[in-house]
Parts: sequence; structure tokens; C-alpha cells
Amino acid sequence: MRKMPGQRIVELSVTPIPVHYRKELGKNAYGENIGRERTEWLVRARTEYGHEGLTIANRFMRQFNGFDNSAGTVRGLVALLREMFLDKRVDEYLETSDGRVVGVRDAYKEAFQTHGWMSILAFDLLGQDLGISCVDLLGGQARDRVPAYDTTLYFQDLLNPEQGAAQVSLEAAVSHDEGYNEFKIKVGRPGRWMAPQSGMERDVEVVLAVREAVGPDAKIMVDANFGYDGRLDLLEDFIRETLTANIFWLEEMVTADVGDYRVLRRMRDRLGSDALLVCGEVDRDPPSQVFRDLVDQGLIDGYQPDSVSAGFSRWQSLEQWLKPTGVRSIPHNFGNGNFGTRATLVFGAASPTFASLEDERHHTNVYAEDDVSFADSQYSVPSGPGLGLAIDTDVYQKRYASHEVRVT
Amino acid sequence: MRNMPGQKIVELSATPIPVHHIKELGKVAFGDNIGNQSTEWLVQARTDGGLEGVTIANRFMQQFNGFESSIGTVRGLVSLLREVFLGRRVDELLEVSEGRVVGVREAHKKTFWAHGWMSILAFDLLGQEMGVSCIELLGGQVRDRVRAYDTTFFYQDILNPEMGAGQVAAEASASRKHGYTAFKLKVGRPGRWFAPQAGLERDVEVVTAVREAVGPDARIMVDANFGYDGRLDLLEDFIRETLPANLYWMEEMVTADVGDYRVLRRTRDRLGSNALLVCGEVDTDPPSPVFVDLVKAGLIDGFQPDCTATGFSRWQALEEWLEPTGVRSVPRNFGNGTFGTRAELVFGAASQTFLMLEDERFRPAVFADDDVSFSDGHYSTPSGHGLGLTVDTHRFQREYSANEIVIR
Repeated sequence: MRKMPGQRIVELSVTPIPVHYRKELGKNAYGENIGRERTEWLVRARTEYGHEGLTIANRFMRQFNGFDNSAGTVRGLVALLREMFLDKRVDEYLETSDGRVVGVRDAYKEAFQTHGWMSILAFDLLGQDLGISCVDLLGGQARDRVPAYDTTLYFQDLLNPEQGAAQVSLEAAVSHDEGYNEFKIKVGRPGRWMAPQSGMERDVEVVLAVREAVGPDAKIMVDANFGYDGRLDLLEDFIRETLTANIFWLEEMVTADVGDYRVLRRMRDRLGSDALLVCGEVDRDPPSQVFRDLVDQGLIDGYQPDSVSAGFSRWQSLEQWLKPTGVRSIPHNFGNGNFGTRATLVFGAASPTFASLEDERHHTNVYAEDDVSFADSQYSVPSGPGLGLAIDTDVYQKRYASHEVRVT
Repeated sequence: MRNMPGQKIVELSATPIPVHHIKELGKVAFGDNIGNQSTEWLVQARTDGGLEGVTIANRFMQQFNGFESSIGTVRGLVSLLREVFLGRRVDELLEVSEGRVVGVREAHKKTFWAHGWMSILAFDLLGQEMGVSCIELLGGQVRDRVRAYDTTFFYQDILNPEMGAGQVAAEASASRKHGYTAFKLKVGRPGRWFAPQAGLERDVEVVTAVREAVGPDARIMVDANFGYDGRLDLLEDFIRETLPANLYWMEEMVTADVGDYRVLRRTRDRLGSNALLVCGEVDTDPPSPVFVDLVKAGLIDGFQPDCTATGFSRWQALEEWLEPTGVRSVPRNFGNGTFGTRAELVFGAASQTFLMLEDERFRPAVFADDDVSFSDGHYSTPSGHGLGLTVDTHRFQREYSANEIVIR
């Protein structure tokens, strides 16, 4: 039901919400153990007539440049939110036409380009103001259910050396039993944490063990986080040795570079792999030049700027650009918590070229249960206005409210 | 008993060993959650006479500059170890006079300065070869027992918002029951994760609650990791409000700077605090000019370069420099795992000006039980040769050897 249009935002708050994985996550090709717990920097914006919009400011809070700079600090976040949202009308951010968002108003274009997560808040508030789902604001529902992949298969073998590759396949089997049928496996062990040849062999061993564990019908993706940089010889071995695993996509096997991707693509074709080549999660100002070149030259099949950091508005622009190229939308979603799952779900429901939702499989935390369900590795689409996402106020008050920072 | 002299190092290996904290560790002033698991990059060196020396290469493995550089990679570590140690005689690394190490041989000086952890391996091997403890090699035992402080009190309140400061106090109380009598608390919440005033108030609340929990005789230290940078006004409030807690030292309250430390020292004196001012863990090439200035100007009471990263040889040189100044040795030890505890214990047993051992309280992993015990907040000193530390070979073979990289 539509309430007073053009409501004014009268209150904002920021609250760090702990969010837990179902298990300890290990290393990836370049970085240390992820661990078990992260933080959602929850932003709530309330309007004068009772709507509440949500987003997370995780990207802002990660960009810390030292204490004498306000980036990545609560004081900086509060100042930014105050400037951008407090006392503004919810219908002054986005341009709409025929019930769909077609752009960002000039006054907010630069800010929403830099802080894409803010555009999701604007969508959420506008959707509630208009009484329609963000799926509709994004262009309308393109699918009833959104496929999701389990993205938690890190270098679990290093966490549990005694088990080795079997640790990863064991976790994949558990995930399969819990309803997932798509799995992304971190590879790229030659780059840092293992000797190059041993690392490649372990990568192969892990992929083959997971395929064995999840059966022939599941999708398996791999993500090297550039761990094969400078070792295209080992990458060729990896692709050859994993052909029988029928990998669905190869992600960031090497750093984005036209020359290397040309070699990689030829190699893939020569070896007879059907795996998509995807990359772009590291693109902080998408599309940066190298990714334009990769797309223009037909060297990649999927593009991956972060779902929440790039935000809905920027992803809308990206999809317009990608549409004639045939390159798929595969937004990165790691580190975005339960909010990110919902935001990517909404985006994926409306995107014709969306491939699959990167699912961190966090335990529930601050959000109320709603009508979204998960079965057969797919999420149903929320029916509520905006993101269809609400805070469980009892849980919030009991567990998290003591760290709430009001923006006044 | 002295072993065959001049033994040759015939084999080395590097193995990542997962080590676990006794709990999940939260944020610090500048960084995100620590988590509950870390890695010891165990280096073992075996001689032709059957000796085995150990160290860890954590500092090397932490310095990752991308896949194109070998720094921070296993391939780089293997090359470095091969070059520096393989085929060398144990007695060609360090200079010895009257049973004590008095320096590093010229050929290895530069390397041991850059990679101090290697000097600990050289000490361990030499001690075993000579049939003496590294404590003797470092100058002889100056104390029977070495006091240790529990360093695991991160922003546990943000991990458990429902408990708030009570969470830190509850953990300190549990630690007290486990025998600890000294506790270091992470403060500096104004810098990043809280609004400044609220962060100061939480810092005070935590310190006060911990004092209440551990009683009046325990030592309480605080470490802000520079979280009061630019907010000397709030730092003054912090010192004033925590006077009843009788802080033993204040660590890195602001970035090392002669001007700020002069203000801080005056503030401390004016308010009547007896807390020592300590810093220097960020000094990766100690002593860097700013720390030389702070020591010369009498503005700090303790200097804190990392124990394992700096290594025994460099710390020997630092102590010679510090001795006439009255500045205490307070080596940092965080991130050095169970090996680091032993290395710092040995160093502390031989150091006249050593204050306390920074204890991460890891669960036992790869090292065999020996005669070192812990009670009343103190460790006893090891009686074995070298570091007195041996690998539990059965456990190593069973749990970790699958990831061992052997260098011959």
C-alpha cells in the first residue's frame, strides 16, 4: 500500500552487526584466512511516515587510510550519510519512467558512482514509497527463482592439512546435501601458499575431488584470484587436468590483461574446455579501461564488479553497456553479508543476463524472516516493496542496539 | 654435552602449521577481526650430525607484494632458505666469545638484519651444537621465571554487542582464573570503529570493568594502535578517567612523533599517571630515526620491535643501545604463534631490561611438550639446548607433513 509520496528522511543510523559463517574459511590465493566472523555496517534510514530503507556501508568502512582521514571511520560515515540523506525526500535521488528507475539525478550521480551502496538505499526507500519491489524498479522480473552458488570453498585443505583435498570435497558434499548444486572453489595455490607445481597439483586434486563429491549435474566454478599470474604453463596443465570436471567458469585465473587473456582463451579453446572466462571484481570504477578492452575484444564471458559496492544504479548502466556484447552479469558478492545476498537476489531477479548469486551462506543475524525461500540451489524472489527486507526489531534491540550510532 | 662441532646443514623444510587462539579475537583500532586461527610458517633445519633447529618465517610470508614478486610466497621462502642455510656450517653464522654470541658474521649480517627470524634459527642450531641453551648464548640467565601478559583482549565488545564492555571483563576474569596476572587491553575505539566520544567512553568502561574483574594487584596495560591520533583531547580524558585503574603502560596511544609524545608525557605527568609510555612495534628497521629521537629525548619508557621478526641478533644490538638510556625492552610478539612464545621466553630470560612476554595463548600445535610450565602469571625457563624446543614428530607426520616443502 502506498503511503504519502515523497517522504522525507528524518533519521539515520549506523550499526555494526556481526555476521557468522557456518565454518572457518581459509586462505585464498593471495590472502590470509578469512575466519568465521565479519561485520555488516548496517545503515537504516527512516522517513517521516514510517518507512525504513536499508543498505550496508561495508565498502566505505574497508577503505581506511589512517586515522587522520575520515574514510573508513564511523565519523566519516556519519558525516557522509548526514550530507547525503538527512532531511532529503526519497523521490529526489532517482529518475523514474513508467515505474522503472532510468537513472540517478544529477545532484547525486557522482556520489552514487563513488558509493554505489547508497543507490541501493535510494532504491529501497523509493520502492517502499511507491509501494513496489526494487525488482520492478530495476526493470521487472526476469526470472521466478535466482540460482545461487556456495562460495565458501576456500583453501580449506590448509586449515586441515591432515585431510588435504578431501576437506574441500567433504564440505562440498555437505553443502550439496543442504541444497546447493553450484559450487565455487578457490584455486591458485601455485601463486603464494604452495610451491608452484605442488600448488597446481593440489588445485587439480581439489577440483576432481569436489566433482566426485557433488556428482555430474552440479555446476563447478573455480576462482584463482590471479594465483596463476606468470604461470600460464601451469594454468594450461590445470585446465587440461580438470577437463573431466567440466568447469562452468574460470574466474580471475590471471590478472586482467588483454595479452594474457588472449593466450588463455586460445588455450581454453585448444584444450576443448567450455568454461566461461570471467573477471572484474577488482574493478573499483567499473568499467575500467582494461575491462572495456577485454569486453570489446570478446575475451571474457562474464563481468564481476561487486553487487553492493557498485550498487544498483551503476549496475544498471553496466548492463546497458554489456547487453549487445553477450557478456554475462556476475556480480561479486563476497563480504556483503546477509544484506548482500538480498541485494544480489533482487538484482538477479530483474537481470536477463545474470548468471548466479554468490552466496556466503551466513547464519541469520539482524533481518526478519520473510517470504524468500531456498530450495534446489535457487532463491525465490521477495514480494515486499523495496528490497522486501526488514529488521527484526526485537533481535536488534536485544543484541545490537547498544552500538547504534545515530546520525543527527 | 657438546655435539660434533661444525655440523653442516643438509636439509631444510617449510611447513604451514595452523594454530588456534583460545577464542575468536575481534577488531583493533585500525583493523578488522583477527579471528581464531593463524599460521606458523615453521622452518626446520637438519644437520649432518642429526641436530634440528627451528624458526618461523611469518614475517617473510606476511610481506606479500603481488604474484610477480617472490616476497611472501613459498617459492621465495624456499629460495631464501636454500641460499642462506643449505650446505652451511652451523658455526659460520654467528660470532661467539666466551660462550656468548657477540655478533653476526659479516657474510650474514645483512641477511639476518633483514630477516631477523633467521638469526633465531642460527642461535638454536648453535646452542644445540655447543650443548648450551640460547639463554646462555644471549648472555646468561637473569631470571628464573618470565612474566607473561594475556594479549587477547581485542574489541571483544563488538564481537558480542549484547555484552558490551562486560564481555572483555568476563574474558579477563576467565584469564585470571587460568593464572594470568597481567592483561593488555586494546583501546583506541575513537579512531575508527566508534564515534569519537562514544569510543572514548567505551575504552574507559572496558578498562574500569577489567580492573574490577581482575582485582587491584594485576597489571593492566592498554594499547591504542594509534587510535587517539589527532585526538589528544580525548586521550587526556581517557588518562584522567582511568587513573583509578592504575595502568601499567600505555602503548601506541598516538603515532610515534616527538611533538605528540612530548604533549602526552606532560599530560600523563600533570594528571598523576604512573603508566609507562611504550611503542615501536611498527618499526620494521629498528631503530628508525623517530624512535631514536623519542629515546634520546626521554619521551618513551619501553621499545617494542617484534621479537621474532627482529630476531635475537638485532635485539642484542638494540639492548646495547638501550641499556644506558633506561628504556626497557618490551618486544612485541603478536602473530608469532607458539614458536614466538618460546623465542620471547628465551630472550626474556636473558634480558636485564625485559618487561613481560606478550602471550597470544595459542593452543598447542606442533611442538612437543617439554619442561616449561606456566603458573602465577609466569613461565619457567626451558632447560634444553638451543631453544629447548622440539617438534612432535608423530603429530607433525600425521597432521602437517602433507604440506611440508623440503629443501635439499
